[in-house]
Amino acid sequence: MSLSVTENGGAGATGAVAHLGGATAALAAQRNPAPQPVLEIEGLTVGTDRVDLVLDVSLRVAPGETLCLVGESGCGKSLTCLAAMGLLAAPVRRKAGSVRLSGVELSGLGERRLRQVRGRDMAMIFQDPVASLNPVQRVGQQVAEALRVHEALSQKAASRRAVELFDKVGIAEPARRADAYPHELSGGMCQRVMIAMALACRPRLIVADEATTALDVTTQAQILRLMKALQEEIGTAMVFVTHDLGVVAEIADSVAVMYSGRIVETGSVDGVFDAPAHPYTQGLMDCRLHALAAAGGRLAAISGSVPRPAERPSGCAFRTRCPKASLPCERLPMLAPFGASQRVACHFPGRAT
Amino acid sequence: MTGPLLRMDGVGRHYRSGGWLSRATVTKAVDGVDLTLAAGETLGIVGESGSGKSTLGRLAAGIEMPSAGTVAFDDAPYAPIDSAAWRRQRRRVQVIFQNPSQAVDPRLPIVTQICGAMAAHRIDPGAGRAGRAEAMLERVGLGGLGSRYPHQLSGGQLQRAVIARALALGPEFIVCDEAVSALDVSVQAQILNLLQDLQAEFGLAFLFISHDLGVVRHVSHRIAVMQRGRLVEDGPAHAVFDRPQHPYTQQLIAALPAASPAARRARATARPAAA
Ligand SMILES: Nc1ncnc2c1ncn2[C@@H]1O[C@H](COP(=O)(O)OP(=O)(O)O)[C@@H](O)[C@H]1O
Ligand SMILES: Nc1ncnc2c1ncn2[C@@H]1O[C@H](COP(=O)(O)OP(=O)(O)O)[C@@H](O)[C@H]1O
Ligand code: SF4
Ligand SMILES: [Mg+2]
Ligand SMILES: [Mg+2]
Repeated sequence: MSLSVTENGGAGATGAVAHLGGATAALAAQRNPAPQPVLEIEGLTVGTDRVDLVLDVSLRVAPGETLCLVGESGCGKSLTCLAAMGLLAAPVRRKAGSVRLSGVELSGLGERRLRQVRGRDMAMIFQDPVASLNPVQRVGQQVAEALRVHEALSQKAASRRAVELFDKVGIAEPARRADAYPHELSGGMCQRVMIAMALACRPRLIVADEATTALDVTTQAQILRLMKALQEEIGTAMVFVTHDLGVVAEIADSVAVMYSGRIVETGSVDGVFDAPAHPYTQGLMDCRLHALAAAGGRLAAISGSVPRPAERPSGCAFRTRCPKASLPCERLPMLAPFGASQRVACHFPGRAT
Repeated sequence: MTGPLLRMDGVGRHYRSGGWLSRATVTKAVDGVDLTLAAGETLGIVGESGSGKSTLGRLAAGIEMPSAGTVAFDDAPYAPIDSAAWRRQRRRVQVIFQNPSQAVDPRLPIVTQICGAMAAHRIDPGAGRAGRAEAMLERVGLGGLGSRYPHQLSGGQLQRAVIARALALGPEFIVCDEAVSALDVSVQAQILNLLQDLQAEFGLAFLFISHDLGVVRHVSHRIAVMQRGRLVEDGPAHAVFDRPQHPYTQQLIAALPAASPAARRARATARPAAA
């Protein structure tokens, strides 16, 4: 699918472009060769006055598409999400680039307009649901309030709708649970409340930052299935941050891999799993412990750790850990097409044969 | 020693809550557990959060006393907490928790903390300590970093430092409670490799607790599955994974994410009703 590449081709095409994948997005693409992306990030650089934390990131997500953002901790995934939601807090700020939601530039909007867009058109789900909920307000009220603000529903209608949503996200005894305070519910239950809240206004975009990381596997499986089903029903685009490639295999249409603030590889989920092109992506794939692999053997580990932003090596930031690093790697590699769907920023992409 | 290194018989740990104004409720965090662990062996404990894994780990390490049953280490029950005999036993049994930053003193360089732990157990008095501490740091891949403070190390490095401190005491048995759960997958792999090497080198026994079945499967010789304080299934790691007998174990394994998108599709075709 070369659609995004041609559209973006020419001088500006240095950023990563998340390709369409998955049945829904592919069908949409057939009917309409260039559906307007729900989220379009271009040349985004985020940092403090002293240091850049996210560098020149470009992403696009189509309606109904799920893009997974992966990478070790400290690579800039959360800051990218926060920038997309207009939630960066000083001293961290957007230093360059643009964020568009269904074609509308968000970077210039004032805080009041942004707040309207947030919640109504886009919603974010965080890793720690208990911390994201108001501890002294009943969970049903919290969802109802979001509905009243964004949908102009009466108090009574909003409460009723909140209970319906609880039922929809698989909360048993929804009317009783709506009266509970966050601390009275389990982590999985609180995350369902957050999802109900995110879905309340049928947003065009949901950004989920490690939304299932803290949950048990059985709860995680239920939540992933739920999010996928609801997404199909309302056609929401989703950016899903995770460090778990198993989760990526479960829900992604496309993948973007971040390392030390930059996107180093993007592509369809099948492309990236079948033929990871960047040595970092290959390392992440190789050190996975998937449950059914032979036990006992040694794991392939990536040596070292993610550099602090202030100590980021010049050129290819991965060269201090890369088994293939050599002289050319002192120059910054640009994202370039690889295979049918991927783009990779590496001077020596692909597996050695 | 003739028997297993660790032996638990009918062990229970019950917590009472409320009871003064409200009605007392008793949580059976651990209930009727029997298990054994041989020297040099790794027993993995899996189960959902709240199933009692951490409580079982504290009982196995002798830092908490059971309300029922007996826990014997090296053929003798753990001595009463804080007694002199208990402090002597501490050297032989170590615990590594999920969050290394809570296990260290933020104000001291890590080598000082390792020497301090040795001093507390009167190991290698005098100049020998610094050398042993440095050797242990070297062994866990932190050679030359002993003068760093905790905040100057990454999460993975800090967990290595905690492992070095445990090793310096020459333990026989280490309880790892979610010891790699907070680390990136790449760093998990480094630490798991290290633990396996150390086991081979020092003949360590591990009780390896994790909610992550993939990790437990990888490191364990035997696995025990915990649900609501009880062990519902145990056996050789491959048997528990390949032929789970208990419905709860089957449910846990079925919930594991797929290894690849292709595997996910294969599973969806094999079990169309499961969605
Ligand atoms: N407020 C801040 N001030 C300075 N550095 C920050 C701040 N927030 C995050 N960072 C740094 O930015 C980098 C990326 O952080 P983050 O986006 O949270 O990574 P990820 O979500 O991938 O783990 C990290 O090195 C982090 O330490
Ligand atoms: N010190 C304690 N006091 C009261 N209840 C406790 C205490 N420690 C654990 N529990 C309870 O025991 C049960 C098992 O907890 P835990 O052993 O931490 O499980 P896991 O490690 O599997 O998540 C939980 O219901 C928990 O709330
Ligand atoms: S550019 Fe060089 S150092 Fe960077 S990932 Fe590619 S081979 Fe490795
Ligand atoms: Mg993050
Ligand atoms: Mg625990």
